Amino acid sequence: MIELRALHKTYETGTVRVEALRGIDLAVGEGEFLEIKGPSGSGKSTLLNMIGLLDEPTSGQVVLNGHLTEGLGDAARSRLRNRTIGFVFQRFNLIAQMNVWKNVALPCRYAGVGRAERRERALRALARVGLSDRAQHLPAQLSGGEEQRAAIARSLVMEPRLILADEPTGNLDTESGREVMGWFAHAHDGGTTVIVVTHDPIVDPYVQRRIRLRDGRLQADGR
Amino acid sequence: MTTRGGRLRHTGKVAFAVALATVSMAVGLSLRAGIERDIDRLSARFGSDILVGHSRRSLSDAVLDGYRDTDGVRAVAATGSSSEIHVQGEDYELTWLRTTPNILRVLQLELAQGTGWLDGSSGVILGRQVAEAVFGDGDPIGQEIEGFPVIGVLALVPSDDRLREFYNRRILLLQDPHESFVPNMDPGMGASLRNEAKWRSVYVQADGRLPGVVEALSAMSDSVAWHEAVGYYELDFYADRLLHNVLIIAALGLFLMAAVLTATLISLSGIQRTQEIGVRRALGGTRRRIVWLFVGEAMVTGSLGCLAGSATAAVLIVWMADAACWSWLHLLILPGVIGLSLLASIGPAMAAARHPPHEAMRRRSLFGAEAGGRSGLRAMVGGSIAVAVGSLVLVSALIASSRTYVDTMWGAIDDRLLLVEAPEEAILAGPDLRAVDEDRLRTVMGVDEVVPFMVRTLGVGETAVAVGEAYPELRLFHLASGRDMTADDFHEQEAACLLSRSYVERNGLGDGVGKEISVRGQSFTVVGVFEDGSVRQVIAADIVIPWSCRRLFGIGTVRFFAHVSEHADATSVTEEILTLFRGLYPDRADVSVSQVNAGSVKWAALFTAAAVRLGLLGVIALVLAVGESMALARFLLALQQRDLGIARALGARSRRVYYVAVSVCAKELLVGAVVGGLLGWLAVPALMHWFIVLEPPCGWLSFAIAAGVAIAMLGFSLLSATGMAARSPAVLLARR
Repeated sequence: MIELRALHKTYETGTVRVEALRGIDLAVGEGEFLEIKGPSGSGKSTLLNMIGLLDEPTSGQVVLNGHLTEGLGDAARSRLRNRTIGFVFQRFNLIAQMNVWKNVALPCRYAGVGRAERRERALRALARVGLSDRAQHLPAQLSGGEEQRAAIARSLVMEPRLILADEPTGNLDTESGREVMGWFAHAHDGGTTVIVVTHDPIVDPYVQRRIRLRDGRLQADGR
Repeated sequence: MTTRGGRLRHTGKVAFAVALATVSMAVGLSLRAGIERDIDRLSARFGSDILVGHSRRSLSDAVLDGYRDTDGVRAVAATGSSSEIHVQGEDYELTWLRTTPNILRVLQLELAQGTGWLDGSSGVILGRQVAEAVFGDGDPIGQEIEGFPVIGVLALVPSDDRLREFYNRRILLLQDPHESFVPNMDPGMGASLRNEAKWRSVYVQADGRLPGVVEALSAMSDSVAWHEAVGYYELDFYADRLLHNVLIIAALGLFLMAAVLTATLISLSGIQRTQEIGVRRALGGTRRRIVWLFVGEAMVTGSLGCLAGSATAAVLIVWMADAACWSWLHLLILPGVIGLSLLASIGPAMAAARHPPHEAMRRRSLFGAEAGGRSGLRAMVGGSIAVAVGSLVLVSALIASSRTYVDTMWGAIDDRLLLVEAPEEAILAGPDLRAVDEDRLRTVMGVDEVVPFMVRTLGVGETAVAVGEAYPELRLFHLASGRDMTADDFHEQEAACLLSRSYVERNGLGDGVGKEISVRGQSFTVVGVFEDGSVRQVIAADIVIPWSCRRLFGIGTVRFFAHVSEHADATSVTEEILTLFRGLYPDRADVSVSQVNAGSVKWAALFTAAAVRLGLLGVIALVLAVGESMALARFLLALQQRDLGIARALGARSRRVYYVAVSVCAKELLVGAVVGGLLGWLAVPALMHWFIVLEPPCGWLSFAIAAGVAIAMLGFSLLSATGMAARSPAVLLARR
């Protein structure tokens, strides 16, 4: 599903140079449930950004679903991201002025799906996370747990083969966190590959494989 | 990300700014179009394509034929000299004018009755006043006058139409009245022919460029002086065009202010949504798609604001229908606003979309992270404020200068100066006024000064006037250099004169004063040069000589300026003068007393109305500057909201919010205000000198306005801070 080859990422701001990733080699198979851990500044989020095609490596290669992403243009990367990956962010990143179902349907819109079908798919995804009654609400009218469920529904709406979650339980209480992980487990049971970047121990029972990063290097990879 | 309410409020602000900009542009254009419409109406009234030629010699039919065959000439009409013929047994003279049939078409003289000259019919057409004087209320058509059948009566020409109004007192015929009357009338009984009736004036209707036609016609004969007919209305146009320029510059200033402020707000709106752009890209939106989404939203917001502004402007324009009117330029406003929205939004949207999605999502705004970015924001806000201040300075300067101009004009107008005259071309004619009538006028209670004068045309474009000794008291001429004539010049027969500035320039007399000129063989020394061509000129003259030298003119018509004392009622004095002269000359019922400065009063009123229009534009400019500056101040403060939340959470007191509000806005405000003030200080006087003749107001106005805007914006910042200070640190932190 995912293959990372000698991945390096260096950020330069003026005279400051930060090596966020220092030669990561990693392969993730279809249907895995993977956890990426590490102290702050170890490169977890950067690695997730590389896998999710949100950023480009300084050197090295990312192969996603059999596609070598190096040299892909904006349109091709956007299309691959849209069709293959579902994102869940720590701060939910719902668009404030859109109601819940429109937020969930946004990836379908970028995929060129018609309005009626977009709505139908969004409502179906909301039903899966138990938020059907909140479809017409605005994000500001939801609790934190509900916002994250809406974000999960958005990540599921295109039925992606990969879900990437950055600290998905970071802003939630324990019960909501467990509920969110339950939805990921449910998706994983359906064959979706799930990668979670987290510090939260409540994630541990759900994952099959754990990766630990330190100073931009792969420190441990175990099941 | 902002809340939905916040977004809506922001969209509302942008739409409001666009609406204000639209109102200012639309109203500015309408007022300008209103002036253009007035000029067009004036121009249409006598034909902007008409040339007038006055000949020093009689012109033959062959010459007219030559004019007709000239390239660019559509039609030619001619008139001979007027011939006044006293009708036996009646107490009036009739003024006949030989002309060509197409004079009616070329000069747009309308027939109120009759058919005119059809198929070479030999009847006469009467001016309206002749018809009323001779036939009273009866129908003149079909009647005869001196053996000629009346075949038409002209519609009354308004008295302010200087080109054509004398046709009210003419009888138009196609043959020479000299030939018709002299053999049949007894000279001893009163046939008086003052001039031979040959072609003297030619009217040419051109279909090409007037200067080209003038050149071609002038090449055919050097005895004819050609003028564009609009030249007769030069002073009217002078005033109208001055107003036109003032309004154009005011509208330009408003447009600049509106465009820059609106563009800034739209840009800031895009910048604020950087995080949202990141999310959309993460979910699969392509860069191009997201850029166009944001640009499209900005264009929709701009269009909605523009439509709202257009509706408001439409109401204002209808309300000001006398002063404003629609123009095709209005059609450009909506595309202009849409284009402006596109230009203003595409940059920030592209800049935001250029960042990797994860980076855009982390940012609170495009300028959130980098010091250089903040400088860009500050430059944008400071620049907008500078333009706002500069535009306000421009509009305020125009308002102040116009007010000063109007006040000066009213101050220069003496509305107690009366002109007493017996019209030369009268239907009800009697003896002319005489020089001895000066003493009789002085006996009228309330008259404190009397100045006799006599005007004589010496040649084409050369008019001389002989004036009485007291003329300086009445400020008839505004001296540009030299001095007025003194008592010595009047009593000791010193040959002194005044010249108009245009005469001096036309004849290459240098600065004029001290030069010698000759008037009908007598030599005069120029002692002063007066301004002409201004709306304040009382007598249209080129040369002014002492009253004692009037003999050079031969027999002429005496007129008087009579000044009414401040303690007397001008209307009663007018009545007394009329009573006096009608008593002295019972046949002279048409002696008239008129207010000399009536024309200037009209112009002054026109300028006063323009100053009111400018005031209206000034109010719009102020609302625009205030509304949009408030939005900028609030935006700057909103950027600090989260930092303020952190500061409050760490123990800062609520008053810190006010400190931050002032310090955040201070740099942009000060830089913007100072730059705007400097721009105004440097540019406004130059603009006003180059494009319009108004004197710019004191330069400190720029800095006063700049300081006013800076203080007002600091006030707005504090006002916005009041709401922020009332929020808890948690609320401030929660807002992104």
